[in-house]
Amino acid sequence: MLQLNGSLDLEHFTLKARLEIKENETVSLLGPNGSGKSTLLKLISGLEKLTTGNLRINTNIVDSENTFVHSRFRNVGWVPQNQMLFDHLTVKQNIEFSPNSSKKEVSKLINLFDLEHIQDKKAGNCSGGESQRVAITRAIASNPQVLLLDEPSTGLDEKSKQIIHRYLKTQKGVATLLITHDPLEAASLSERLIILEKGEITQSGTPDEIRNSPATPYSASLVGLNFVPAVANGLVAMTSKGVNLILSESIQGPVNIVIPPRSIALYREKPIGSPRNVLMAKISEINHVGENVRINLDGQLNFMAEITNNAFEVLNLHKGDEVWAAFKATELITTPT
Amino acid sequence: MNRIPKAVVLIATIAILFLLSPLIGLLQRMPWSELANLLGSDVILDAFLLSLFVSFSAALVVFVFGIPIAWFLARSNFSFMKLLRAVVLLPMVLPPVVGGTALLFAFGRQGFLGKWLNDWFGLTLPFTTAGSVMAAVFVSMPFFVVAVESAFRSISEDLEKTAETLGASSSKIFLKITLPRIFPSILAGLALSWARALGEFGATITFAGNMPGETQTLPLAIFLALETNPEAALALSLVMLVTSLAILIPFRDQWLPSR
Amino acid sequence: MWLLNVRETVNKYLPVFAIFCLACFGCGKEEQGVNIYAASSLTEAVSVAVERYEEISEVKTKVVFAGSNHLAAQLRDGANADVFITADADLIEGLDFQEILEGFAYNALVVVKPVDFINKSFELNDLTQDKGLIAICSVGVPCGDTTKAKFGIINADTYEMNVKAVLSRVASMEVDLGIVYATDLKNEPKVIEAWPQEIACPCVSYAAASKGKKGNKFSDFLTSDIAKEIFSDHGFSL
Repeated sequence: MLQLNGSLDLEHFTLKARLEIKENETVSLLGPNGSGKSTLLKLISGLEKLTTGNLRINTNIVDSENTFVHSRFRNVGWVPQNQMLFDHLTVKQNIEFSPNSSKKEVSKLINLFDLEHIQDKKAGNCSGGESQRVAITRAIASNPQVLLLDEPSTGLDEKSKQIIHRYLKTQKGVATLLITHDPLEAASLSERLIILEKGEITQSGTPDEIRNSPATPYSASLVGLNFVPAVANGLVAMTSKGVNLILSESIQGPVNIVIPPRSIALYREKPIGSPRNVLMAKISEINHVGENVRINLDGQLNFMAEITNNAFEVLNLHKGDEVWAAFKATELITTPT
Repeated sequence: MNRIPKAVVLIATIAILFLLSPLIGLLQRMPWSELANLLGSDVILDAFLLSLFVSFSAALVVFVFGIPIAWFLARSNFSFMKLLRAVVLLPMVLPPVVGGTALLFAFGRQGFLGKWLNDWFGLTLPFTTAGSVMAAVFVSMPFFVVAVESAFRSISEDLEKTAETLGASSSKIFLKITLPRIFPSILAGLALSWARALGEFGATITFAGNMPGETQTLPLAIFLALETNPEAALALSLVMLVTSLAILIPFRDQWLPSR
Repeated sequence: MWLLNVRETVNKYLPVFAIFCLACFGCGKEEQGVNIYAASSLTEAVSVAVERYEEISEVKTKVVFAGSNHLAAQLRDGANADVFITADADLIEGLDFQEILEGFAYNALVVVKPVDFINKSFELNDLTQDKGLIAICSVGVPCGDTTKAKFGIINADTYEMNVKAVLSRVASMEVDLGIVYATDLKNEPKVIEAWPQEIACPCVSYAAASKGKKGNKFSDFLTSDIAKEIFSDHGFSL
């Protein structure tokens, strides 16, 4: 059980966080680079000290104005991004390093994470996937009350990813906070997501809640939506770059407009006809995703369109091509800010 | 080889020849035919054994005390660290005879510490083997500390912090993580300081004096022999040369700062 | 065009030129005065003597004081001196000198103690006991050989390379007893006789080896009345 309510002054901004993670909960922490995610983990593990506020682990105050419990006594399992394995020790020696580990538990975990065949290998000789599994196993073996994972499956082979995910989905009893860049992983592993931007929690909720009403451009980009801040004046909203978007409902003041990628149609020639928003753009990137193709478009507005494979082939699109993108006013999701 | 500029090769060759010439001169003058006779003498045996004892004892002391000093210098943030480091490195720049004289001022019979030791415990440090070891420790400690301090610095603090989050005590981390990782540097530092201790002359002769069997190490014996028995001096020099090479060659790989 | 030629020539002969320059630096200037190498035990006496010699003969002198063995080793390796005054005549062997003046002065050995130990009493037996710290010259240097000849085997704690080192050990009170020259006893206020002793031999006998007109002239001066008075004042026997 983890309760944090405080702030930490950093070089470029102040990290402010108020969050609570229960014993059986797994929470994912997402955010752009440099937003303070890793620092937040360090705060909880005791490698940083709060400037204001307090932190409790299982109702014990470990960090406050007049208390600071050293990381060695906090019982927190911290797996940093670069694993920090003890290269000169074997895999088994790494895992059983913590004085809180028990032989039985260590054997069980070695099996669970499929490390039996390399348990006597020097940790420095392990592959990326093996290292990550060892690091996580080592942290779990220390019998922690809180588990902190910094990008546990980034860049890993499929097998290692699966083993780690399997453990995280089935384990019980330890409050887990994990940092990831992959919203799909976050959605599959955790009941709750926290989004951290420039040191502040901008949104916190279930994957569905975030998908349905993303609070910031970053949240929206996570769920694969186009997010456009603008100022509305009746049925027309103007973006910061001067692009006019036609809305389906009259509204006044600053708004956030979401353009679902699937509602964007692409043309080689400028289409004429029903009231639609029509913009010219250049293709900057093409990504095939299953049955569809995601196309990143740059122009007066930067956005992403998702079209079917068929449509893609008919249009014969290439990177650098100039196309027309059109979408109906009724497809837009407009929320006042 | 083709990628090295010609000028670099030329300068390196000149430097190597310069360093080799005295060695060649030494070997060329060696009285090879009488070596067997000379080497059997008591004086040489005494000096040889004493040098081994003093240099290895000094290396042991340097190891035990040098590691904490190096760790302290590498990890602490006190403002007087710069001053402390200068003090630790002082023997490196001090002429050895000055070092020996300074040791007398501290530990000689009239020295501020030596006087107390003499009055209260009847202990005299000059003119004893212990004195030779002290002089050797004084001049060779900085070499070890420099090598080990930079090794400590190269270990990421995050590694030690990760070990802390696992609940390990400071001593466990120090013994099981930190020391093993800097082990090669410790060996290199020890080899360097041992070699310095072996060759130590100025501070030894000033502080510990010159007495066969007690304080007459190989360098002192050589210096004396140069004036009274040049052939013995050559034989002694050969003994020193062989001894140094025997210890340093096995450590040649540790000189490289890789790992 | 000719500039190129000059550069080529310079480059070609540069190494030779460089070595020539180095050799010249090594040459040194032509000495006008007389170069004297003297045993360290003669420091005070010979310093006074050369001062008088400079006044009388109007010849400049340059003196180097060190242990006799040390000086002999330097001379063997090519150092240049017009006069070599040694405490051991055997050291002159093999060196390039013309005239040798033997036994123009003698120095007896005496056991001394620090002046601050005036109330501490010692006796001859103490030299072979483990009572105090003793410093003497090492065997192989003149004062050491003579010490052994006069006193036999001594239970010393340090064998110094020359007599001045022994003297400074006693003067600094690092040792209790030291065996030095009678001249040292006379000239060094920080040491006194360890017990009442007779100034008697076996002694160290000084010899002066010289070469060249300047050298031989100075060597002759050493036997003059003026020189004898200076030596005697400093405690030497004649």
